[in-house]
Amino acid sequence: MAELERDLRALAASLDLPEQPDLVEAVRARLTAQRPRRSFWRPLAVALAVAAVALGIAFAVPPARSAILRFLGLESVTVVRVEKLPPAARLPLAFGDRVSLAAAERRLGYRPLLPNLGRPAAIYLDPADELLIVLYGTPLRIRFSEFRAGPGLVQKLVKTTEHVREVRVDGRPGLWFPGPHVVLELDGQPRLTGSALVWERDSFTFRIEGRLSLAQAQRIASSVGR
Amino acid sequence: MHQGIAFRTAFVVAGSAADAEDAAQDAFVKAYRALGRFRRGAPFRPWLLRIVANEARNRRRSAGRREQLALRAAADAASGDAAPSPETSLLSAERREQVLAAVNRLPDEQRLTVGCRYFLGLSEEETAAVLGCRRGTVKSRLARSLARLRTDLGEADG
Repeated sequence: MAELERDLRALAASLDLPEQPDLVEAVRARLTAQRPRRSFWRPLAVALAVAAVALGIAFAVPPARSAILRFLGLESVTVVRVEKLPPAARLPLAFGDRVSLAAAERRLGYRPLLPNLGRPAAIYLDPADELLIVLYGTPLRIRFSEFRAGPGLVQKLVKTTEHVREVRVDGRPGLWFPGPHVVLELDGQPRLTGSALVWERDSFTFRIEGRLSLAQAQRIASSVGR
Repeated sequence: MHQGIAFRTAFVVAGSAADAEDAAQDAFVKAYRALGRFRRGAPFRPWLLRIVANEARNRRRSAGRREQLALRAAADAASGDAAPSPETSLLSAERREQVLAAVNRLPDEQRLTVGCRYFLGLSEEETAAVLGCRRGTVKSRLARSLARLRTDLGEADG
């Protein structure tokens, strides 16, 4: 019964298919030729992040021509494995406006869920009122961020040799990045970062970065909103 | 990655490598412009493949190609230095030709369904997006295709 199906699958390996052309360059040329430069801000960054899901990192970080090996990801976070990390600055940990928690809540339109880490050192909200960044510790020790999930909003680049672990946070899907990786956030700037835990809950995406072990990160993650 | 599966899907639908390349390129540009209409939370690949398949069908139509793509097995690498992959070596050359010929004798829709599911390795949802039909239709069409292939190959059904 299954023999035919097995043979059909096996046949796929020996089919004569034409060689894969490089679509990335052609598509990028067409898109950049027609794109007005002025709208360089957020809509573009968001669109780029999603388009990059389709075509690879060539969009978001033009100099990087590394081969993209495979994807994995959560709904709103796409992980792209590349052979070489693109050049990325150690940008400031936060961007947007420094706000009070009350102001953040007002602008976001909901009460943000925070980890049980005591009083934040600083809170930032991006200009579009979508991404909340909360810094903890003096000197800074932990960066916590949250935003409403949308597909491919944030992209993370990981070297092919790095392990990315699929983990659970309170039974919900998450990813653990044990080593350096590059993040493209809503501001569209590639930022080099260390280990991080990312997870999704309801329609939100949370991230914790810092010098933490997975167990520590998971403990903090479990405290969010408690 | 998406560009590989997009191109192969376009090839299977359009029936020519040049058309497939153009169709995949157009599809990516269109997808990029249509990102605002992409339903948040929906899986990305079926959405993309639907656009790819539409582009490929349009090209095929405007090229006036009526005959379906005849899938061929690649030239046998047995004499070369590359060892046959485990999947390939499961199949004798004779069986491979027989099965492929039977697939090529299928009616267009069934051949495309088999191509999507087994040759391109698409999921049912992705296949439905490519064919522009419901998932249930993919299932029943696939069952009919397999039954027909078995009869054609002289294998007992079931």
